[in-house]
Amino acid sequence: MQLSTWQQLTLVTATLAGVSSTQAAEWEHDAATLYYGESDGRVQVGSLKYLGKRENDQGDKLSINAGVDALTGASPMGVAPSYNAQTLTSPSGNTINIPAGQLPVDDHFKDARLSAAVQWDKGINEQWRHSSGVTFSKEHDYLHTGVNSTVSRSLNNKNTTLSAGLDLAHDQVQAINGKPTPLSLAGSTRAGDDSKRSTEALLGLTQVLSKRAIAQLNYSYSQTSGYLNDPYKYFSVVTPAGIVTENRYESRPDVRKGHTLYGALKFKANDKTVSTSSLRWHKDDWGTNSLTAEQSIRFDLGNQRSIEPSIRYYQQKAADFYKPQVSSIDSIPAYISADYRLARFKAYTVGATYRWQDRKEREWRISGEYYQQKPVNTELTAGQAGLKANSGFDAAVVSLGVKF
Amino acid sequence: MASPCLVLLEPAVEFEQAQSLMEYLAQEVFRIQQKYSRYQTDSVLSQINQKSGQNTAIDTETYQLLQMAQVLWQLSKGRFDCTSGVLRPVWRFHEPSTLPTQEQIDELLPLIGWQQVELTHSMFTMHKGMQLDLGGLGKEYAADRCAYLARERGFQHCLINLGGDIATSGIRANHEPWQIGIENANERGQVWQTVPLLQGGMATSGTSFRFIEVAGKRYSHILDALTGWALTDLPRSITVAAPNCTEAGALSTLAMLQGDKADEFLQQSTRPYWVQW
Repeated sequence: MQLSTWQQLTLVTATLAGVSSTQAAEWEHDAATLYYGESDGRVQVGSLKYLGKRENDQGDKLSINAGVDALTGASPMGVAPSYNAQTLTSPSGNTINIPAGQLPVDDHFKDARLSAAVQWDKGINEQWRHSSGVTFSKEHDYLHTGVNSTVSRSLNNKNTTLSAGLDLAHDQVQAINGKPTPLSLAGSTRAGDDSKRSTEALLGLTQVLSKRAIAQLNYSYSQTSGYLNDPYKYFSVVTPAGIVTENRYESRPDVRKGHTLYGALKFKANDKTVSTSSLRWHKDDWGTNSLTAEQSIRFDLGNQRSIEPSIRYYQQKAADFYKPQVSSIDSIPAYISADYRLARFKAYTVGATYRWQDRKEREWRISGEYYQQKPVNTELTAGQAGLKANSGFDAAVVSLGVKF
Repeated sequence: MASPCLVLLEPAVEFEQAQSLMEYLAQEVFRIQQKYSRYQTDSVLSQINQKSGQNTAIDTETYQLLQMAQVLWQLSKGRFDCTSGVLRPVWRFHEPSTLPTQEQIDELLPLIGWQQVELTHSMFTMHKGMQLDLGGLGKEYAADRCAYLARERGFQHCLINLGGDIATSGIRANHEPWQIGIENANERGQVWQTVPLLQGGMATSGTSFRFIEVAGKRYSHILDALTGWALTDLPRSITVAAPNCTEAGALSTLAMLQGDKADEFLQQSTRPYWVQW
C-alpha cells in the first residue's frame, strides 16, 4: 500500500490502538499490461492483469487475481516441411496454403482468455498458517477450474517454515468442431469435448540462514490424466524422398506423472543489493526432463528507484514419443507427437525491470525480456535436406505495472 | 509507570464494576510495562537487546510497536530513533549539570540508526551492541489499549489518563466533549488552558521539567538521534489531539523535534494542537 506520510502515521497508530480504521481496510491494487510477441509472426499475446490484496490486523490476507489475454498469430501445426507446396484444412475449417520449403503454420489462431483466482491466507495460531484458493480460466475452447490448499508451520523462532499443499484441477477441452480421434487422418470426423484432471502435491521448506540470506526448497509430485492431446496438432507421414503422404492427429499417453524439485536463495549482499538465484529440476514419465536456472540482482538506486537485471537458462529433453515426422516405411507408433513444445531445446532469456515511485507514492515498474528458443534439430529425409521441422524462435516481452 | 493514572467512567456504575474494570486495565498496563521494560532482564525488550547481532523472533504486538518506531524514524528523517537510548549514560538530566564531550557522543553514534535494523512480521535484527528503547511509545500505547479494552467490555464512556497521556473509549454519556486541562508549562500543577476532547486521544510532549542549563543555554531532554546532541530552544510544551493517543503522542514528539517550526509541522498534520513557549 502506498500511503502519504501522514496516512502512514494514522494507519500504524490505528493498528496499534486496536481501532478499526478505514485505512487498514483498504485494498492494495496492482495492475499491469503485458505484451508477448514471437518472431516471424508467430504467437502474440496482449494481457491486462489485476491483483487486489487486502490484509487485516492479524495478517490474514485475501487476494484476488483477474486477467484478460488476447492471443493471436501463427502456430506450428506439427506438419512436416516439404519442398512440395501443401494445402491443409485447419480444424476450424480454414484452408491453409503452405508454400514449398516453409514450415506449416496455422495463422488463423485467435483466442481470448479470461482468468480469475481468489486466495485466502490465514494464521491459525502463532505457528500454523493455512491458505486456500480457487482458480478459473476460460478460453473459447478450454475451461479450467482448480482448488488448492496449503498448511504451513513455523519452527525454530520462525526461522524455519515447513509447508504441505495440494492442488486439484479439472479442465474441459472444448475443441473447435470437436476433438479428433488420435492417429486419425487429418480431415476425419471430430466430435465431442473431453477433460483432464490434475493433482499436485507439494512439500516446502523455507529457512532463514542468516540476517542476509533466506533459502527455499520445494518438492512437488504432479499427475495429470485424461485428454492430454493438443486437438490442433498433427504429425506427418513422409516418404524417404521427402514427400508428405498424409497428416494424422497426434496421440499422447493419457497419464503424465512428474517430479519437480525447486531451490532458491535470496541473498542481501548489502543495503542496496539483493540477489535471487533459483534452480528448478523436473523429471516426468514422458521423458521431458528439464532444468531451469535463473539469476537476478536488484540494485537500489536510491530515491525509491531500483533496477533488476535477470538471466534465465532452460533446457529440455524431448518427450519419448516426440518425432518430427514418421517415415512411410515404418509403422505408426501408438504414441506420437510432433509438437515443438515436446522437442529437445534450450532457451535463454535476458531481461531487466526498472521500478520507481511517482509523486503520489505509487510504485511503477517497467520490464523487458528477450527470449530465444534454440531447438536441437534432427535430420529429416534426404528429400527434405536443409529443411527444419522446428525452427526455433525469438520472443520479446514488455510489461508495465503499477501498485496503488 | 511512576506517574498518576486515572480512569473516568460514565454514567455512574456500581463500585464492584468499576473496581473490576480498574483491575483489568491496571493488569494490561502492567503487562505492557513488563513486556517492554528496559529494567527487567526477562522482558521482551531486554531479550531483544541481549540478542543484538542476532535474529530475534517477535510477536505481532511487538512488530506493530516496532513498525510504529520505524514510521516515526522515517517521518522525523532519522532524528527520532528508538535506538538512541545508548546515549542515556552520557546525558544526565540532573545535578551536577555537565554536558557530554563530543568524543563521548562520537563513540556512541555508530550504535544509533534505524537504517541498521531489519524488521519483518516475525523477526527483528539489529547490529551487535545496539539497544532498543520503546519508552517513548509505551505509555501512549498502553492508554490506547485500555480505552480499547474498556470499550470491549461495554464501557462506551470512559477516559483513561496515564500520566498525561489520554485515551477515551468514546464520547461522554451526555454527548458533550471531555474537558481536559493542559498543565501550565511554567508552573507545575496549574492549568494553563482547558480544552475540549470529543473522543480519541491527547498527548503532551514537554521540556519544562527535564532539562539542564549549562552556560545559560537550556538543553532539553529531547535528543537529536542524528547528532547525539540535546535540542535547545524548543517549545515548553506541545499538546496534540488525534483519533488515538499513540498518534497524538507521535505528533507531539515529532513537532517538538521541529523546534521553532513546530507550528508549521502541526498545521500540516491537520490535528488540533496547543503549543506553549
